[in-house]
Amino acid sequence: MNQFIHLISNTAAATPIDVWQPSTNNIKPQTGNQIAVGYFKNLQGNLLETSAEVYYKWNKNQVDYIDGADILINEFLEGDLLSGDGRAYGLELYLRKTRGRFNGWISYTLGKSELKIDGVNYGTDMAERKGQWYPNRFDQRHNLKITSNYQINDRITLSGVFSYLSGTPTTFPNDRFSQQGYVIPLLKNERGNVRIPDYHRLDVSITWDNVYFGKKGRKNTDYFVFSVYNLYNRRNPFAITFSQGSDRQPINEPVKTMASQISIIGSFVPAFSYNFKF
Amino acid sequence: MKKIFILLIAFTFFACENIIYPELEPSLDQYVVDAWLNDLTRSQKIFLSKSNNYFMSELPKLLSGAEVYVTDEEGNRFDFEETEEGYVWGDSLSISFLQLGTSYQLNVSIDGIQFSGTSEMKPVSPVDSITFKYQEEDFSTAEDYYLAEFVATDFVGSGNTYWIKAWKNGVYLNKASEINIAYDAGFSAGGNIDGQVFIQPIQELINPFDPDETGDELTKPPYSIGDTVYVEIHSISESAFYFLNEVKIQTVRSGGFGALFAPPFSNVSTNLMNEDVNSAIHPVGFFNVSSISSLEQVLTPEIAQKAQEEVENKN
Repeated sequence: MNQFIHLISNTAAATPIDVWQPSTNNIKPQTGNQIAVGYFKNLQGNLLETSAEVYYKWNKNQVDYIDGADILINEFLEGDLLSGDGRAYGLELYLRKTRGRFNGWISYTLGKSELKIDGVNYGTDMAERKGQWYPNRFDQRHNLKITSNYQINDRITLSGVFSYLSGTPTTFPNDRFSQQGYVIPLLKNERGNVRIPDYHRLDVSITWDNVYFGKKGRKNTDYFVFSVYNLYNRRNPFAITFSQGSDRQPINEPVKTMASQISIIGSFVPAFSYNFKF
Repeated sequence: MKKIFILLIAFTFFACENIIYPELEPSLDQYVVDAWLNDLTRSQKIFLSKSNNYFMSELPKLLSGAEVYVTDEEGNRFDFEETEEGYVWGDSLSISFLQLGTSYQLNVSIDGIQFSGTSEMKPVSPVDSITFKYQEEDFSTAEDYYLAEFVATDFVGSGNTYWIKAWKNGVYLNKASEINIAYDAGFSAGGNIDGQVFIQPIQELINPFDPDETGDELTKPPYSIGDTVYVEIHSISESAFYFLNEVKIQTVRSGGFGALFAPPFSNVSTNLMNEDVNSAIHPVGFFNVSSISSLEQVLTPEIAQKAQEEVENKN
């Protein structure tokens, strides 16, 4: 596989600022190869579908920004980028029950996606700056999704969806030091040292068929759905920031540094809808 | 596309921000050297400490047992003695040993490690005057207010760098966004403003803008009648200018959604190094020698009256 356009992103958030950079004489097109081996089996006369697959991918000319890069509206962005190798490998499992009152599916992926670029993530090797493997923006250790439906009777169906995703690795300071009363963040030369807290969420819904139409010999059909998004009210983080705030700090008192997270839809959202066909 | 945009904006009303405590690795414990010397008649202080973990909000603790001295081009040596407040040279009556146009080297010897850094003393232009501009009450303040501006001219010749500090009523304006640095008379080397009076935004950065105590989201007037403003211009080396610029970029960060647009974190530069180049231990911090010029001005009722008349005469 080849790709001629590169994505540079600032990894402070789950959906960070993305800048697209085309290949140039300084940034070669990305190339990648992948192998996958899988085992697929249907059990109990197609009632259960199962599959297991492992994959390994190796890529060249993967691009990342250097320490101190200026990503936004930078005319000479190529000067702030370096390229190196990437690799990704993992296991994908899938199980599905196709029929019956209770049906649904579970899928789970265990995966790792890394980059190794000389000049980036070199730890304490100040002389040669050889890069070490570090998790890249898309590294998601666990990805679990469960969907299920349960038919209580002819008209009422319950369903639920559960997702669990590991957090994105981000680079944040580990230490702080002072100069002339100003507090300055200090980083290890390591990328992806802090992970955004994991994302998980449960959605449930209940559906009534034929609430008005379709009953007592009426023509047409309708159904009413009541659902709750994010049932247990988890504040899934969208982005995290490390900052010292912008208020004036009293002189000779330590400057307070802290981390905060922003969540969008940080509460449960109930919804109902009524649909009819005529 | 527009619908998606409006939907995203609507979602911000559901958004919430809360403080979290991600797990960080143990402190890097790096040596920090805070050595900014000047030519004022007073004692000079150098502070040595170690870096703290990011969530440890404490004042830096002094490292004991170091040997700290500064040498000049002729081999003169100036020793700094350890005291509770740092490594100190001289007392409140000591005339500075710094001379214009001379290069100095800082040497720190601690725990068997030697750090050093150099800095040249450059001249500074005097502060000619401090003037006040009268502003009528607007949507952000509850009353009429005065903006202070300092007037000084950059030396002819490209490459002069300065750090301007301001005090209101004796209190130093210490917000990271108030770090006021100038390259020649402008913001950066590319600005090409040489030998002129410092540009307006630099002149006005000596004004503090803090929220009003009433909590009505109004701003306190920067200067009112009776306030004192004290301005110092420090000459700094070009690398100190870039250092302070990086400090501003790393520390002035908006919270909330603004964080998405912030530049990624990175380490600021330093002009100090371990004499053993192959060692994994490197100091952070900076060594700079400055010449200082200063001026103090009180906003008297007469000055305030004149400033008000000037605005009224124009209208």
